[in-house]
Amino acid sequence: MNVKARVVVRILLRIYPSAWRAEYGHEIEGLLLAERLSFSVVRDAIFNAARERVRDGEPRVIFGLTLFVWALCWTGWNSVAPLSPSCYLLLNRFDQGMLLLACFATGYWTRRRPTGSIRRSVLAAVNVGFASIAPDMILLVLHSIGSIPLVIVSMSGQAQGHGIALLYTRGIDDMLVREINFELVLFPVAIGIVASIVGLLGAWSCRTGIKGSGVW
Amino acid sequence: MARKPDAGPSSDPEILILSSLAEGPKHGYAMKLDIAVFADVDLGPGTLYSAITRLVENGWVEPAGTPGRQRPYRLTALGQEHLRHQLERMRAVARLGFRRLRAI
Repeated sequence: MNVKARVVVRILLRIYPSAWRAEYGHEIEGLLLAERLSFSVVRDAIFNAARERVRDGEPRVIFGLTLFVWALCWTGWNSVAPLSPSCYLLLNRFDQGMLLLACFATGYWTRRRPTGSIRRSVLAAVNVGFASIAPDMILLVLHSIGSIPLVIVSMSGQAQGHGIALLYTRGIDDMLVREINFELVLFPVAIGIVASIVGLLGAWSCRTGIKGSGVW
Repeated sequence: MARKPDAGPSSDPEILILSSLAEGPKHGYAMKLDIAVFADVDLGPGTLYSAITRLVENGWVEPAGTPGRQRPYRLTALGQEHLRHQLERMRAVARLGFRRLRAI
């Protein structure tokens, strides 16, 4: 078995939850090393690792993946059939609400787990926040190095150029490359701060309970 | 490989693993080879161990040893009962299907 295959198997194993790896890791590693690492074998391992992650119920993975796919879908939709400015604004508000809710739930749920702590809850919420902006960030990086074109759509709905349209670039007039580069730094920092605060609130509500709700 | 949608209930990974273990304890690789021979289904490592995880959690299969590369698994009494029940259901469906086919 060559070194490259071993590295691929190690990476595949890292996708599985750590508790699962401790129980079955050696066995599946042996089996993967005995196989020819074809596309279907790698796909099968990745799919089942994701399934185990969801079954394992790591909140940051479940919420992070959901927001990542959500962002990817809307970016794709917006690129194929650009939304109207009013629709975009509505979606933007909904997006923000979903992010806050997901960060709060991640903080709460992570804290509830046997291994949960305030620190873990906050980090998990930050992970979810980063996952939600990952598609946009990847596209912005690719755009800034000149790999892909971006459509910048003004508030009047006028598209400038052809290519992939980011949700949050809609509604911004004449967005310049240097502004996009600025977004690359500012946006993750802002999301990190907001997600950590909301995650902390989630973790805190789990520890103390929300007074007056009766069910907490 | 995950089960193909058109492959039918006889290629369900859990039933295949239970059927393989009905012969005696086996480790993952032996199960995979056995299943490939008797069912002509090539279970990928991910699918195989995902199914084993569920079977262990349900108490239908148990590991016969500590975690390691070649740990064998064996069928429990509960697993035998579950397999028998599932196979009887499949037989009843197959019998009915054949009877209806003959009537065409």
